[in-house]
Amino acid sequence: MEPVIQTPSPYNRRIAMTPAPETLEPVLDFVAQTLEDWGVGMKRSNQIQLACDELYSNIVNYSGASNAAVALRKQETGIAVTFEDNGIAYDPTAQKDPDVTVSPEEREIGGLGIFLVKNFATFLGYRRENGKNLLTVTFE
Amino acid sequence: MSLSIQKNQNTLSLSGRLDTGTAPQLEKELSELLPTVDALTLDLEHLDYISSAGLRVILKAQKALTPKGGLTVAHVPEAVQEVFDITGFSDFLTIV
Repeated sequence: MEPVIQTPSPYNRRIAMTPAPETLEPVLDFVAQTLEDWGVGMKRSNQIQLACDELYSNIVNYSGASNAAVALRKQETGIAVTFEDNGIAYDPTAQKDPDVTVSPEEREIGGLGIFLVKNFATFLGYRRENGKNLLTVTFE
Repeated sequence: MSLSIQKNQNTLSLSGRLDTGTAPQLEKELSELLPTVDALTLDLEHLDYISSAGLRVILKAQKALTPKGGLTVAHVPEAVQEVFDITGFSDFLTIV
């Protein structure tokens, strides 16, 4: 099933899909195009795209979800991105940060993605509702 | 949204995006290349963007090459440098 794009209003766009590796590119294309249409600067756009790459990939790889959606909203204060999926309960904001001061030999691979998102985003909020994970990330 | 890899002796030049979708491509290239070289340079001048999947592949290469000649990263663009700085990768990568 192809991802479906909905535009409830000019500054509210949503892409819905069955999560799978081949949907990553269309999702990131959608995000990049939306940010460009909304005049978001390149540096901020890169950061938001990176967050979407990390968070949507997690949904694809780990959630077991059959349905998911990524929604973008342009607000007065910035951009809000919401990730929704019906997979297993998972709160990325509750994960421990990786220790970024240790040497490569001791480095763990996991956790870097969320760590980057936390660094770039102004706010991350998670809630579980009606069997869905809802994660909102804002970039001011 | 793609990655292109150009090889020139001990340098791999990356262009485009190193993200979750394209990282396996680099990983595959490196798995073939790493056993045959003592040192490697990644030229990132034309890399637009890197995400954690890309960092993982670079970390693997770093670990594989450190006992030999090492990994060098060159011409790092600002957006990529920012990611290296935040994640502490700039502390242990050889950046020129």
